[in-house]
Amino acid sequence: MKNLTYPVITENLSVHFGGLQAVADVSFTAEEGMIHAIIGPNGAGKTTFFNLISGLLQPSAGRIRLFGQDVSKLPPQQRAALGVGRTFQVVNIFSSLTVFENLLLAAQSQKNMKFVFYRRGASYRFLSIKAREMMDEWGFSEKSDILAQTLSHGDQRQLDLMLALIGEPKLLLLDEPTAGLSRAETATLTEIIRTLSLKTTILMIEHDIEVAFALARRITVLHEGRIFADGSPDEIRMDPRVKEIYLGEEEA
Amino acid sequence: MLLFTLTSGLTLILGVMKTLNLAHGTFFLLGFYTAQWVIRLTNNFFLGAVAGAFGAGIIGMAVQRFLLSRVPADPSPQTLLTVGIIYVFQDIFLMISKGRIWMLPKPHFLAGSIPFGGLTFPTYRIALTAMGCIIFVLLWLFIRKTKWGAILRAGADNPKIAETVGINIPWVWVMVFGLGIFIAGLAGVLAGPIWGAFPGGEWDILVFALIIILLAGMGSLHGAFVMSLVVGMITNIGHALFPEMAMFLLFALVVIVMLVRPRGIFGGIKY
Amino acid sequence: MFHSRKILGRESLVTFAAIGIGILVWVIMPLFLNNYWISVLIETLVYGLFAMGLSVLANYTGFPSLGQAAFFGTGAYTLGISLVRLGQGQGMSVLLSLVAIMMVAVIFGVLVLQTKGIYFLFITLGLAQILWAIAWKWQSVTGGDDGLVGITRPNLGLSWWNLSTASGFYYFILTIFILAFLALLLITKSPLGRTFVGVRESEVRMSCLGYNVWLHSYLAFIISGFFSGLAGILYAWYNLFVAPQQLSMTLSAEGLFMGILGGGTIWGAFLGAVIIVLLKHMASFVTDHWLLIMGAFYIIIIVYVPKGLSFMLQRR
Repeated sequence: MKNLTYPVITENLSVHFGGLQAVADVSFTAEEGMIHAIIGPNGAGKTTFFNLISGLLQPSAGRIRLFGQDVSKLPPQQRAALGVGRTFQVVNIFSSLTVFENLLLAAQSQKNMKFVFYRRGASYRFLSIKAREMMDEWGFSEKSDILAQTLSHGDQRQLDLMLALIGEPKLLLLDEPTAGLSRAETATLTEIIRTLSLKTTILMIEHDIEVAFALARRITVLHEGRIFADGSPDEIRMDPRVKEIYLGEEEA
Repeated sequence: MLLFTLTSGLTLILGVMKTLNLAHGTFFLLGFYTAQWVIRLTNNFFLGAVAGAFGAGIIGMAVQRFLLSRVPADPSPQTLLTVGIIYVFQDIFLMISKGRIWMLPKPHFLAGSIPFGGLTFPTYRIALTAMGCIIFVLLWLFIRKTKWGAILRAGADNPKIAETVGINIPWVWVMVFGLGIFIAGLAGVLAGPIWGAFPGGEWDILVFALIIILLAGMGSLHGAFVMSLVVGMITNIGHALFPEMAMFLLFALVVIVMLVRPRGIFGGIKY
Repeated sequence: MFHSRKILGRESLVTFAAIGIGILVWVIMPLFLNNYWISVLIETLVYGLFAMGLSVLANYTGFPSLGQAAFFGTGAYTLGISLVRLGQGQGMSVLLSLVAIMMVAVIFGVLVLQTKGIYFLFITLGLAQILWAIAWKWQSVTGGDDGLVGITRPNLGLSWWNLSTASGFYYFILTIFILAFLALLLITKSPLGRTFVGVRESEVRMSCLGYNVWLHSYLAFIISGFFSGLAGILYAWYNLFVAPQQLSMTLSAEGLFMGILGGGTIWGAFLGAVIIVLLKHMASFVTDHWLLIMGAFYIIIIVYVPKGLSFMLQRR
């Protein structure tokens, strides 16, 4: 019997665009405090799946429960309020704002400061401190006044992650976090993710299989919009069919 | 029908290039003035029409090639650029026309009228209607059935990908813009004998075109066709029955459509 | 609490200089200028406010609109109609005008915010044109093409501040302008203002962070409309006459251009307005062909200086 208050439960989730079935009949569960990786060849529907969970896309069938609540009809901002944070395949940051302002903007969403149209001392100070703390933690303090668009690619990815984290999410969706990173950067990021998983449930789309195997406690393989395989890293590693769908992709 | 001729050009540019060419009315007038100049010289309406349409088209192509293409693909600067063009030409037209209203003479073979079913129709107007339909059909065929049309549609859907496939987008844009303007200029010439032209006229005609596109939906050619008919009818009926209310009726219609279907009745970008 | 900026960096110097010039030209000089130049200054303030309002929507939130004249004209016409046709007093007229402006903002906002980019440009244009047509046709109320005459300026009832003199009126407008300017600065630098920029930069990111993007865009729209509408009221008092031009596409386009010219900030929009107003006046001194000059100016700026004067600033 499934614990209905799991961070993520999807039931028969489907979405199609025109004639294309992007995600079909996906029934998925993620348990709390785990790192759960989602892998699969290109076009398998992984990012679409994330879009469905975060609310950027409406399903054509099926349901989604986050922390026990049926969110299938909720818009993204309300899901975020439930504690969902997300990073993106192509970084989604506020380019013409500074790093500091980026974080302020992310932080103020939490504290009911969204509509404040004047600068009030105390709460503003609070936000400011929060942003500074995050920058210190990630080594961004020197870069606080730099425009986001002038950051290096790796830094932008980090900022993308920081934006997701400043709200202290309970569920974190990472979309290909290591894409474009060097070996060293990947290693650092892997450690960071591992630390995060102590407090947060993490769903991770990963193209780098090694990273996925190293970090995840459970792996779900998506293929052509459906769940192809699901299990522990060892099980997936052994599964010959999984190798096949990836090999098929290599040949193509 | 004249309205359609004019509007189709605007729809084309809007739908394919996603550019709001507010100067469309200006090119309408440009066609007129050019044709008039040629007709003065040669006394030949046909030559005038050709000159007007091509003259406008060439200047249109130049505008796209040298000015519009230099501007980032943002709607805001592009539209403002077209406004700048309106001002420039508005002044030039003022100089040329010295504020007077001019009309073009009807071509001989189209003067007179044809009796039909008890009513007489001016031949010229019939010719215009026919012209409008021909243009519609030609455009439609061009876009749907020819290789060039396919290139156009590819460019409209996704310019970046189209470029990687080898389509020279900047030139396509120049051609498309030129074509749209050509049609506008042609409309200007054809309108000459009936409406004439006066400085400031470019704004009036623009308003009509905008209404039609608002009603029809931004990229739809059939929509523009249908709506031009509708608008034309309303204006004519309106003028005959309730002169004051014609414009008002039109705008009331726009309001209703806006409330019910903001994308226009045939809305969305599709051909 | 402001995070630290470099003291006496280039930015601060420019700011100080700008404020200094501002005070000199707009506060001190009018005491010595003749009526013509005072009216030029008034125009910079009125159109400046118009452009600044638009700037919130177009530049900060990223929704360039070709229909801002709808607010300006509504403000101007409602004030005029209330004074001239309804015979109301100034206070009541201002109130009615503000109500009308807000109604337009609330209603148009709902219709218009379903679209973006060029659709948005187009629909805002269309809606403004509807108002224009109403003004043009409803002759009994608006005076149609001939316009609405007979508007009067308010009387503050203060013996030392007489609004019927040119400079008395000028300082009245200036006061309102300064208050509005400060309000706009406050709003754009506040958390709410920052959310507008967020919407412009990445709606997706905003909604995944918990923001209701539509709501924030709507707020931006309404705030923007309010200030541009207020400018319309000031215009009516200044010109004593309102015509459909105040609802025209030309005005909206001009406002948009002023914002772009100035580089996309609030004070930039004001600067843009100043430049355009001055250009218009200078050009008509020199030649009859001021339209040509304006058009050429538009073209040159957009092609060669697309970011406007923002090169003066390091960012935003």
